[in-house]
Amino acid sequence: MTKALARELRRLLGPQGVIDEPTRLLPYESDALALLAVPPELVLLPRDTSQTAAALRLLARHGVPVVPRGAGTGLAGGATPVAGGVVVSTARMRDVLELNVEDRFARVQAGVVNVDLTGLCQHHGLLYAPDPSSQMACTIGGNVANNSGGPHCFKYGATTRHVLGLVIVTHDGEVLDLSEPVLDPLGYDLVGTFVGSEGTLGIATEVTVRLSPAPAAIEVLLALFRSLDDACDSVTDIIAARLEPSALEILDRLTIEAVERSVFAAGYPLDSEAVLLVELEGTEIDVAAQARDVLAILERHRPIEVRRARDPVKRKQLWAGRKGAFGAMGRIAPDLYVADAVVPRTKLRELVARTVEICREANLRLATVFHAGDGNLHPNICYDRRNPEEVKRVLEAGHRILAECVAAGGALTGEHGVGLEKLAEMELYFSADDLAAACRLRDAWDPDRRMNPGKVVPSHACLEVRSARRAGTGAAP
Amino acid sequence: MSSPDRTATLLESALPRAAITRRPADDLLGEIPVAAPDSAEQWSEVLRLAGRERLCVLPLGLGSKLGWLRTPERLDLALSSARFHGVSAFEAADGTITARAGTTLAALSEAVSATHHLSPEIALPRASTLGGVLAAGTSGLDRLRHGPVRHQVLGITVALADGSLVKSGGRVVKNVTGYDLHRLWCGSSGTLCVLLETTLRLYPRPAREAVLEARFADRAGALERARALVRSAVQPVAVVVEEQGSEWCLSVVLSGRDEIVAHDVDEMRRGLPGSVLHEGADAQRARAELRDRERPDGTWSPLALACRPSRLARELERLDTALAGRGLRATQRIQPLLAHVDVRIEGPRERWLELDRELDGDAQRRWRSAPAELMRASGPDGRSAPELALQQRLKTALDPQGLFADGRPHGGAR
Repeated sequence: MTKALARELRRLLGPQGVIDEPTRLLPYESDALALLAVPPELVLLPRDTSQTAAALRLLARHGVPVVPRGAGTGLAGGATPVAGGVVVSTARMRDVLELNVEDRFARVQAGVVNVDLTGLCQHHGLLYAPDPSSQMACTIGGNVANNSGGPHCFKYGATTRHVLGLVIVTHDGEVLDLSEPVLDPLGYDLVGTFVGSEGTLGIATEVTVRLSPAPAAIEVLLALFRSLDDACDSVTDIIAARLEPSALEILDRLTIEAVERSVFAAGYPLDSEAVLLVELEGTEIDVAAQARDVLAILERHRPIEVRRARDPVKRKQLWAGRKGAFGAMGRIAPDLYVADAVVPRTKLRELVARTVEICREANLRLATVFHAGDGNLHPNICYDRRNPEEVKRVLEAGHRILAECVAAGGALTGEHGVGLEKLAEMELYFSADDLAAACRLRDAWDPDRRMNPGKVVPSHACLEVRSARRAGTGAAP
Repeated sequence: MSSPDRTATLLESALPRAAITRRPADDLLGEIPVAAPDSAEQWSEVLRLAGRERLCVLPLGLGSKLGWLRTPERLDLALSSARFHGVSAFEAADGTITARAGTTLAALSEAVSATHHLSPEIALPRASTLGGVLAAGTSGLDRLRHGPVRHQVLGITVALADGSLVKSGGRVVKNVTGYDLHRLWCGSSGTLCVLLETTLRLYPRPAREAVLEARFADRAGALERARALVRSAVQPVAVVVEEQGSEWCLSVVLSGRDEIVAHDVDEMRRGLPGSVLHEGADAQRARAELRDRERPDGTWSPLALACRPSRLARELERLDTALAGRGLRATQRIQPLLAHVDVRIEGPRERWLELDRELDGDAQRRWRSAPAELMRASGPDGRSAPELALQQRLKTALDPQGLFADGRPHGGAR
C-alpha cells in the first residue's frame, strides 16, 4: 500500500475515516474467529454511500483488495483481512434514514446495530425479527452479508426474508440503488442474490428492512430435563405435531454449568442435563392454546420442572441463560470454537449424540447450545489457542462434525456463513459444477475478484472456470 | 436458425422418439419441435446438443405464462418439463417436500394435504407446474401469510446452458451455505437455466378455515374495511377486494387453530355486519374459488400494479383517470394489504400503450399477455444503468452463448 494512496483516501474520507496506526489496527486483525488473524494495512471508515463509492473507485484504480466489515462479530473469518488489502468498516454509517410505520419498513445505514433497530421499532408496536445472539453489537449490514438468523428465525425466517431493498457499492465504486421496497423484483433478483454473499459481491451501505407487527402476547416455557435426548425428542415431537413456536432453544449440561457460574446465572439446577426454551407468540387465545399443546408434549418426556413466564421481566430472566451462554463460556475455557451446522430436524438426537462422541474421542470439552427448532447445531468446543496441538484437534473435530451433518442430509452452516473457516468443507457439500456456477455469479458482480477475496468459494474452483474461459469453452464476460 | 425438421432430427440422437413432439405455430411462437426429457441426464444431454448446434431454446411448463414473455427474436426448440414430474421426497416430520419441475401445484398440494399446507396457493393449480411458477416468480393467494414464492424455496437443482447440473441451497429449513443462486433462478423466466428439482418448506395444515365475504357499494368502502384489518389483531391468510358487477366484494380468508379462527370470525363479523360466512368444506370451496378468480377464463390479467400500501389509493385514482381518459374500462382485483392490483382491461388494445404512458407514477407495472408492441415498449421501468448492466452481465456469465431465448418481460437489458 503506497503512502500516496493512503493520503488520497484520507483526503476523500477525512482524518476520522482512515486508520493506519498499528495499535489502532489491532482490533481489525480478525473477526470473532480469532484463530484466523491477519494484520490489516489500512482500515477505512466511510460515513455514507458516496464516501464508500469514492473510496472503492480509487481502490479499483490501484487494484487493491477490499474486505468489508460490520461489527466484526462474525464467527467464520468472513472479515479476516487479506494481505495487501484494506478493510472497509461500516462502523460510522449508523443513521436511521427512514422509519415508515404505515408501510412497515425501515431504511437504515449498514452500520446500525441490530438491537438499536429493534428498540426503535418497539415504540411503534413493530419488530425487526432477526435477532442473532450478537445482536447487542452486530450490524444490519453484517446481518445482510451473512444472512443472519437467531432464535426467532424459526418463526420469522432468516435475514433474507426481511430485506426489501439495498444500496450496494460494487467493486468499481458504482452505486446500485435497489432501496425501494417492492413486492417482486423486476428482472433478476439482485437483492435476494446479494444477501448472504459475505462481502464478496460488494458492500451494502443502506438496507431497507421489513418490520413485522409485534405480537400481542408472548409466553416463555423453560423445561429442565435429566437427559439431552429428552430435550431433543421434545423438539422433534413439537415439530412433528406441526406446532409453531417462535423459538426452540436447547442448552446442554456444560453450558448450564457455565451459565450458573457467571453473571448470567438464571437459576438452572446443576443436576439437569439440558434446558429447553420454548417461546410462544400470538394473540392471548393463540398463546394459551399453543402452551397447552406444548406442555402436553413436554410432559411426555418427563421434565424435572417446567417454568413459565408471561411478564416481560420474568421472560427476560428465563432467556438470560441462553442469551448470556456464549459470554458465560469464557469461564470454562480461554477460547471457544463455535461450530455451526444444520441437520434435518428428525435427526437432531442422533447428530447431537455424534458431536458429543466426536469431541470425547478427541479429548475435547464440548458445550452445546443450539437453535433446535431449525436443526441448527452450535457445538462449542473449548480450547486454548496457545496450545497448537489442541487447536489441531479442535479443527479436526469441527471438520468431522460438519462431515457427519452433511452426510445426514444437513448443511455446512445455518447462520455463521462460510468465510474462510469452511472453505475446505465446501467441497463436501457442493460438486465442482456447483462451485463453478458460484464463481460465474461472483465474476458477474466482481470480475476482478477483489471483493473479500478467498472467502466463500474455494479459489481453485474459480481458477477452473478461468482456465475454461482461456480455452474458449466457457464464459467470456 | 435451425429448421424445425433438422432440429427434430438432431433431437432423435439424444432422446427417445416419444420425447419429441411438434408445437403448432401460434400468435407468439412459430412451429417448433418440443423436447420433453424425463431424467436429469436427458436434460443435460439435450442442452449439450443444443449448445453444440447453436440452437436457441425456451424452457416450458404447461405454457400458461407464455404470454408473459416478449416474443423471442429467435427460437429453435422448446424444452418441456411435461415428462419430468413427481415428488422425490416428502419429509412430513421435517416439513419439506422435494419435487421435479413438471409436477403440478395440484399434485404437490394433494401429496402433503393430510398434514401440511403448500405455498404458493396458485390459481388453477392443475394448470401450473412447479418449474413454471418458480421461473415466473408467481406468488399465490396466501402471500400475505406466508410471503412470496421465492421465500418458500430451500434449494434448487438446475441444468445450465452447458448441461452441467448445479445445486444451491439444500433440503433443510435453515441454510446459508454458499450463494443463494436459487434466488437468482426464481423469476428468471427460463433465461438462465432449466429448473429441475426444488425443495420447498411446508406449513402446518390448519385445523380450521373460514372465508368471510362482504359487499360494498363502492371501492373506497371495501378498501377502508380492509385497511382496518391492519390495525386489528386478526392475521388473515388473504384479503381480496374484487369488482363484481356494480358492487365490490371484500373476501377475507382465515385459517389456523380452532380457537383462533373462531375468535377472529367473531371479531370480524362485528365489523362486517351482513357478511356471509363460509366454514368447513364450504370455506375450502370458497377459498379455492377466490384463488381461481385470479384467472377467471384461464387467462391472467394483462396488467399488474404494485406500490407501497400508503400510496394505493392515489395509484388507483391515477388508474381510474387514465382508463377514463382513454375510453377504456377495467375490472380490478385488489390485494390491499399487499398493495397489489390485477387489472383486466376491456377496450381497444391499441390504446393500452397510451394507458401505459399515462400510468407512469410510483406503481411498478407488469404487462403480461398484452399486445406485442406494448410488451416490447414496457421497458426497464426507471432502473439505473448500473443495474441493467449487472443484469446483462449475469445473463452473459451464466449463459455465455445465449442458448436460452431471452424473452424476459422485465429484464430490460437486451
